[in-house]
Amino acid sequence: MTEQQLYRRLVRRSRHRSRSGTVVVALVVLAIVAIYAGIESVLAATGMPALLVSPVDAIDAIENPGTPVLIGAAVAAVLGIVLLVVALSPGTRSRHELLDDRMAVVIDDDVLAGAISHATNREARVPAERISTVVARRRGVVRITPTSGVPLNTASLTTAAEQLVAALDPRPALAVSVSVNERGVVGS
Amino acid sequence: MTAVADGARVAGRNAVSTRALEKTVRAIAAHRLGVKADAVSVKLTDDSGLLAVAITGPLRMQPLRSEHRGDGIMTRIQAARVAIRDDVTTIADSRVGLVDVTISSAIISDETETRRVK
Repeated sequence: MTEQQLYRRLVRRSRHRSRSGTVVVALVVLAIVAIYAGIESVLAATGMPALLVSPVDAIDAIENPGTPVLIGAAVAAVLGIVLLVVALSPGTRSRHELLDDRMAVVIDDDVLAGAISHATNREARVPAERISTVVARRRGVVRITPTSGVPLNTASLTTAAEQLVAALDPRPALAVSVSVNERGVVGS
Repeated sequence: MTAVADGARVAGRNAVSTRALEKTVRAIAAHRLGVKADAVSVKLTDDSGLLAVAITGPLRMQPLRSEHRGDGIMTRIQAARVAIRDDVTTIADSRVGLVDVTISSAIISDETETRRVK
């Protein structure tokens, strides 16, 4: 494995959630069910009384299902759908990759949001608590509350935010927008 | 801030406290109403990103017997509102939206000196 491949893999591992926990739980449950079925089969074959249900009664119940069996089947179906969703969804964490020749760099979305806020505020110059940024996978939104009587230029703020994002070049690519609150706050 | 040319910019932030801004507006309003600053009260709020100024204070009036009565009250208040808006814009460097002026009383100018001459 070359270094680049290793980095790609490391970045992928830290940008996506591991499914190992879910797999462990699902397999343990499956093993318990299999062991129980084995025990019941052996008991039935040796003519001893069943622990809960003998295999013959179980097959009978499935062929002519009563209400408890139907409820059990519904629960199993829901669990199955949940497991399918967990397995097939991308399972991305809120992180972005920064491209670098010599390192694998992964940045948390909150940190990225803070950097965008800071860069935008070099242009806006409002108190830090009046600017906030939310970063999603492909979109970043900067919200800013102006000082009453000091209008902000949305276009230049957007340019400032975009310049930072262009310099960092996070992957997946991020589109930033700046929204200036209609209501300002008196004094600074 | 916005009024500063790009070449003259220095990193950092200008901050004017609400209290300082209020005192400035109060002095401007008192000057324009022709009364002392401590007779005037000022409330600053936001008007869609602009500064909204609400002023309550007395208005200076000429005595009824005076020959120089000047304009009517409404005309004078209107003129004061415009002047207050312009002064706050230039002095405090804040764009002003609403200007509310409530005249709570009248202060009659003392014309003792004029009377003496008569």
